This record gives sequence, C-alpha cells and structure tokens, in this order.
Amino acid sequence: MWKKQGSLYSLVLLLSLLVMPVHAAVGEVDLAHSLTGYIAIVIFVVAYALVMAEEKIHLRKSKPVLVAAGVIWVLIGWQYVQAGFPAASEAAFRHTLLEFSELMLFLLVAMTYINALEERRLFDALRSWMIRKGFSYRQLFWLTGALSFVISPVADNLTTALLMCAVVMKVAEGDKKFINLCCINIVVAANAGGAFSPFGDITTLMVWQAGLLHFAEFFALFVPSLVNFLVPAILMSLFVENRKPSAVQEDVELKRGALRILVLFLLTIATAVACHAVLHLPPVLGMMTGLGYLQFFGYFLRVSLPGSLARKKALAERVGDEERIRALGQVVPFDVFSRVARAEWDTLLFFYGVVMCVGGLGFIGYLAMLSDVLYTQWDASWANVMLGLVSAVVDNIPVMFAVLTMQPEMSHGQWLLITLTAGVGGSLLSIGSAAGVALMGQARGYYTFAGHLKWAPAIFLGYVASILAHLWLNSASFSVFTTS
Amino acid sequence: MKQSVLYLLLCALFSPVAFAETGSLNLTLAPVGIISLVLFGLAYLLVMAEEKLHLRKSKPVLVAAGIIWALIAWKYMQQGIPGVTSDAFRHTLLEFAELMLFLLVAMTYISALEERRLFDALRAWMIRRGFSYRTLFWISGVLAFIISSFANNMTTAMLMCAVVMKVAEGDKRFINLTCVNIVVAANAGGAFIPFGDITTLMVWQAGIVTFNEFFTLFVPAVVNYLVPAIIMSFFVERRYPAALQEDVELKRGALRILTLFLATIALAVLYHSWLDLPPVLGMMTGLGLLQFFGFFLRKTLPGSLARKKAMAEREGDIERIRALGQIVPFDVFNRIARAEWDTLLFFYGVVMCVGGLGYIGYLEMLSVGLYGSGNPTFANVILGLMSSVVDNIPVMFAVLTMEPAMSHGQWLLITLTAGVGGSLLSIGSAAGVALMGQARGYYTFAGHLKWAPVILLGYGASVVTHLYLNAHLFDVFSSAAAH
Repeated sequence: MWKKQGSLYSLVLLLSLLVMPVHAAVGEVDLAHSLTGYIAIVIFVVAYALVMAEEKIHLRKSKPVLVAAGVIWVLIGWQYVQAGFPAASEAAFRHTLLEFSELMLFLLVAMTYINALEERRLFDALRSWMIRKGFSYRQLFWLTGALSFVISPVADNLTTALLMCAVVMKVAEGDKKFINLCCINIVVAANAGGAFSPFGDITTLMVWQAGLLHFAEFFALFVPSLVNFLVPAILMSLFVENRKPSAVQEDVELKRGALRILVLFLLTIATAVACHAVLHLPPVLGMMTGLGYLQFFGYFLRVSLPGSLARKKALAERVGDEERIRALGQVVPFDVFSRVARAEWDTLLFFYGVVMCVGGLGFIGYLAMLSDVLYTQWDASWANVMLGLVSAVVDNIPVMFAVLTMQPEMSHGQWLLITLTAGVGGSLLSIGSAAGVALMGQARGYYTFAGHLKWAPAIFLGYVASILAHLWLNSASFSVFTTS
Repeated sequence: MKQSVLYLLLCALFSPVAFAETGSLNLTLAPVGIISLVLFGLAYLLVMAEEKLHLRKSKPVLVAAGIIWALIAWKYMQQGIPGVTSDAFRHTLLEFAELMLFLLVAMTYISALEERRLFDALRAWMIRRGFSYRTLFWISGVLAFIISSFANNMTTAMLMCAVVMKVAEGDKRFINLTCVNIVVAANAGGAFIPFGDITTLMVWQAGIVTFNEFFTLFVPAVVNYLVPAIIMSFFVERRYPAALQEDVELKRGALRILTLFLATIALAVLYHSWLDLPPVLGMMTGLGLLQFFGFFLRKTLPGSLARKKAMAEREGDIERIRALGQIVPFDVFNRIARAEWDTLLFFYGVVMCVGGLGYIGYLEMLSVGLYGSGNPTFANVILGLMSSVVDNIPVMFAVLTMEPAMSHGQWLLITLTAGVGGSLLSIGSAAGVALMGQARGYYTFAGHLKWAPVILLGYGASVVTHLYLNAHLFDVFSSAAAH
C-alpha cells in the first residue's frame, strides 16, 4: 500500500509540472500545454492504471499500453500535420521505434537461448546439483543474489536476471512466496551490479559514451551499489524460511549439446560486447549473429542425431540397460524455432507500448520539461535523487536521455549520482527496469507487480543508504568539473 | 563528445532520411568489400539449397549479416571514423524492424482467423459452389491483383494463400503454382497506384511524377500479370477439390476478428496517408484491438457457452452439447507465437546483408554504372531484374538519390520494373518471402524458380507494352527538380 502512494506521487508530480511555465519543446510544435498533451497524459495514466490492476482484472499488461501508444502518436501526428511539419513526427516515431527494436531483438535472442538451455535440461541439472549439495532456501537466496550482482557488471542485467530466475524457478518449484522474494532480490542485485560498470547498464553506458566521465571513475560507485544490494537483501533474508527444497532424488541427465549451447551463449554475449566495445556497433548485431550460431548448432544436432542415438543404443544394449533403450527411443530432435516462438510475447509487446508511450510524451515535451524544472529550479542533488525515483515509473533510458540532452552544469560527483540513481532507482518497482519486466514474464504468476510493491519500502531504504554512501565516500568528486 | 550526442539526437529527430545509403569510405574494391560480396553469395547459395540440405533459410544470412557488418565497422575503425557505421547499421535495422512488426501483426491476424475456422468455412463454401482448381487459380489471382492495388501487397498475398492452402489441402503442385500466381498478381497490382507499393510511393513522394500519370501503368501491369497467369493456367489440372461434405461452423468471433483485421489495415493506411506516420504504428495498434477483443471473448465465453448449451438442450442435440464442452478460450499470444520465425529472421538477414553491401558502395556503383552508360531504358530494365535479388527499396532509393535526368516515361518505367521485377524470384518481394513462410514446404524458392522464364516473359511484355502505349510520355521532362 505504502509504495502505491509513492508511485502515485510521482505521477502527481508529473501532472503538477504541467502548470509551471517552462519553454522546453523536444518537438517543433509545443504541445505540452495543449489539449493534445493533456489528453496524452491522461491516456497514459489510464493505461498504467490498467497495467497495475493486471492481477485483478486478468487483462494482460501489453494490451492497454499498445493501444495507448497508438492513440498518443495519432494525436501527435494529427497536430503536426495541422501545423505543417508531418516529417518531424514521423522521424521522432521512427527514432523511438528503433530504440524498441534494438531492445526487443536483444531480448528475443536472450530468451531463445534461455529457452533452449531449459529444454536441454541444464536448469534441471543445476537444480538437482543444488539439492544434492543440500543448499537451504536461505543459502539459495544469497547465492542467486550474489551471483546476479557479480555477473551483471559484465553481462547484460536482463540476461543475468533471466538466468538466475530460471534456476530459482526450478529449485523452488511452485513455492510462490520464496520465488517472489528471490526474484526481487535478483532484480535489485542485477540493477545494482550494473550501475558501477560502464558495460553493466544502458544508462551507465550512455553517460560513459557521452564522454562526461572517465572509465575508471565509475568504479567509485562500487560501494554504494553494494550497499544498495545488501540493505534490502539482509532485510528480505530474514523473511526467507530456512528450510530445504523438497529433496526429490532425481537423476537428471543433460540432453545432448546442453553444455555446448551454454558455451555458445557465452560466446554470443562476448560477440555482443565485442561488437560494442571494439567495433562501436549496436550490441544487437552481436546477439543476432549469436542466434545464427545457435541455429547452426541446432542443425548440426539434428543432422547428427541418428548417429548419436545409434551409438548410445549400442552402448546401452551392450550393458543391457532396457530402460535406457526405451528412453533413447523417445528422444526428439532439437528445434530452435520452437524456442524462439516461446519468447514471452506479452512482455515484449508491453515493452513496445511503454517505450512508444514514453517516447511520445517525451516528444510532446514533458520529459524535457521535467528535467528543466528539476535542474534549474531545484538543487542538482535533489533533482538526481528524484529522477532516480521517477525512473521506477518510466523507463530510465529516456530519463537519462533527457538529462544528457539538457546537459546541466554538474560536477562529476553529480553525474555519478544520476548514474547511480537512474541505475538502481528502477529496482523500486517491478516495471522500473528491463530485468524486472523480463522476470515478470518469465516467472509469471510468481513474481508480480504487487508482490514486488510489498517490498518497495525495504528497497527504498537501500536506495537512500546507497545515496548517502555515495555522498559521503565520494565527496571529493563533487568539486570536479569537466572543462570541455 | 558532448556535442556529438546532441547532434545525433537532432539528426535522428529532424531529418527524415538522415543517412545516405553509401558510407563515406568507398570499399567496393577493398578486400573487405570483396569478402562481403563473396560471403553474401555463399549465404545465398545455401538458401537456394535449402530443400536439399534441410538447413532452414534464415541461418546462413543471419551469420553473414553479422560478419559483413563487423568487417565494415572494423574498416571504419581503422580509418578513425567509428560513429557513422553504427548509425548506418541502426538505419538498416529500423527498416527491418518496421517490416518485421508489420508482418508479425499480419501473421497473427491470419493465424487467429485460421484458428477461428474462417478459412475452413470459406473452403467449404467454395467446394459447395463447385469451383474447379482452375477457377480457384483465376479467382485467387484476380482478387490478389485487385486488392493489392489499395491494400498492402504482402497482406493481400497472405490472405489469398491462406484460402488456397485450405481448399487444396496437401496438393503441393497446385499450391505452388497458385502461390507463384498470387505473388505475381499482388506485385503487379501494386505497381500502378501510388499507395499500392512502397517503391511506387517513393517515386510519387519525390514529386517527380504526378498522381494521375501512374495510372498509365495500368495496362502494362495487367499484361505483367496475365501473360504468366495464362501460361500457368494450362498446367492446372481441371479437377475438383476432394468434395468432403463437411459442415464447418465458424468459431465465436470469427467475423468480428475479420472486421478488426480490415479495420487494422485501414488504420495502417490512414496513419500513413493522413498523419504521415509509419504504417507499422497502425498495425501495432490493431494488434492491441485484437488483444482487447480476445480479452472480451475470454470473459464472455462462459456466458455464451451456457446460452448455447441451454438452446442445444432444449432441442435435444446431444452431439452439440458434447462439442460445446470441448471449446477452449481464445489465446492471442498463442497466435503471435505461431508466426513464422524462420521467415522473419531470414528477412532480418537479407535486409542487413543488402544494407551492408549498399553501405560498402555496391548499390551506388551499380546505379552509377548503369545510368552512366547513357541508355536509361536499358538501365531501368536491368535494375528491375536486379530488384528480384536485392530488396527493391534500396534500389529505388539509390536511383532517387542519384536523380538521373530522365523523362516521365523513364521514371514510370523504373516504377514498373522495380515493382514487378521482384516477382521473378520468390525472395524478390515481401509477398514472396511471406508466402514462403506461410506455405512452407509447398511454395519454395526452387518451385518459384521453375516458373521464372514464364514470369520473365510477362516482364518483357509489360515493358514493351509500356514503351509502346506510353510513348508520348518519354518526351515529357520535369522542369522542377525533385524534392
């Protein structure tokens, strides 16, 4: 309940900005104070309200935002046609669509790999390993959280969270409360882990690429990020029952090629990172090429299946293992396309709707207006803290984009602060970060908007603690300014 | 660096065609360019051998695209200009994304209609009417020609294909023939109307040829469709589809979904023509409408079942009661998931590969070479043929960017050839690619290739018709520069 008011508060904040006289238009036509702008805001709020009520009315979350995006852009397009510059709104729409497509294709490939690993029973095997090792729920909670924090600075937040969630889902099959808790922990950890490494998060990357901060400077955020992860994790771990997963002693055999697919997945991530770091191409190219690897390997698996089966059968016959022979008879070939198709479409389309809606509102001028008010009328520290909170409701990429576009005069310490808050602020709500949105899709029914919201106070505590840690530890950087 | 972000933003927001197709480095003769060309050739060979190797067509192009762009970026890095490559890549990706989302929505609708048994019902109706295979062949072709002149080629072709697949269930040869016919018809139907095809639209929007002049292409377009259709129709057996006397009952909401589909297409057209927004926005909004309707169907299912059950009980129809017990609610996400991923990914690969080759400079080299020869008729005819291998949008884009001094007759000629040239190969047009996915196993690259000579005959005939009928237009020149 507490946090519901919090998110409402930020919406009220958004609305209250409308009355203030600011001139900041992203589009050529100032629509921020027109009827069109107000209607767009109302539509967005209504759509968001429907998303929040998803569990009550069983209306999947992609539906309202999809239609809202269509309506908002129609309103914009209509205004621009009347004003005589149709090309501007078209270009803005395309630009926003591009942002979505890159994220979508990236997600699609990551989801496909994870689906394929799941189908090859890798997570089953990991689960049975964890059970054999005798990990308790509490140990599992810490293990997945810590791993997310460690992996996400190197890999993408989203992929990391998806991987960890897959393991948790397997080990704690069906335990709704525990899965929800673990997912929250994973999301917080993945977002915190991404905040201090330029490769870890898109917003961090944007700040780095804008040339405002040096590569090494970002690592000053390590301790604040750690604090951000640990505070809620410690609180939540008190609520994890210290029992062991039902110890079903099953013998899981990896299907053919499981480990090779895992290697390909790592290679794909490496390709994506290399694409970005070495060639300065969007990482999505690397991911799509990596999907090609998986496809070729799937082809190899399919072509070589009869031979492999014959070999295994001969072996089993020699040993006289009847059950094994029967099991081999049921092996079906690997089909990569059915893996692609099993991606969570509700999530992907929801992403489309949100990106397009926020893009539309930004084009109308509301985002610029917001940053303008924050930086010129408020203190920069407060502005950065507030923007972090806002990024829990709206996507943090446009928020960061708006800040970078405005280029307020800020010290390095402030730029680090906004990097931190935009990176971890999204953890407050499940819809605040890509990792959260993806997990809502993957663990649908277990990890939900309302389930995350219950823990928002604990996460908020971590948010405040991490900011204080940054202000105190890195106080020196607040007097450093870029001269360029 | 600060300015570069701003500049990028401004560039992206305010210039509609911000990035030229060709990069600042000319790599056509560099090893990078030649390797890329060879890679593309190899990938294409693998695609053509799909049926032999059973290697699905998306795989080679996906990897080829990755390598080609990596090579380009590496070369640009060495020259110290890294930023531009990613812009060019993003520009190409955007082109793909728009087409992909468009296709995704169309595929979802068609799959939903199929699940609601609309095509089964249509098939039953056609069989009851006693249409022969040959009648079916002509009906689907003519309808594709007419509908595609105002609707999107791809959607038209997919609708017609769905009907044919149902009626001739399993008859591989007939389905292949009819699909070839539908693709040719859909492409020809789009060539003579500014809204019918993207390339036609591009010429119109460049302001070179007036709206009415396009209609002089009507007769050539008809010739282009009829010549291969007549020849192919001789090879259609004059028999009747297996006359199963089945009673198909449409599932709940089938007609309403069809209405929504038409509304979605209308929305896409309106978004484009009124608001100048990309049609994909209309399609995605339409998907939202379908989703809401699915929600409504699911919510009202118990009530509707109870009503139907009560009625059946009153009439004592036991079989009907049993049938009602097996109804499952409609799930729109299931429909989306059934989209043809092989086709969508293949599309990605081809668009990215050709985009990469264009960026290297091959497309420009080609058009410069052709128009530099001084014989525009020859150049336009060859470019039309080229557009069956590469996407016709970049080809047209290259021509419009070059702005060779040509008469209106020549501009109409390139409009015609770029529009119908893609029919020669199954991969030459969006309609063909979409049908390869929809009728996988029936309509294939090789199956289309067999009929390429016949289609080429139609191509030649339509060009000759245009040269003869519209001879007077070859003396008309625009005084105003384009744009």
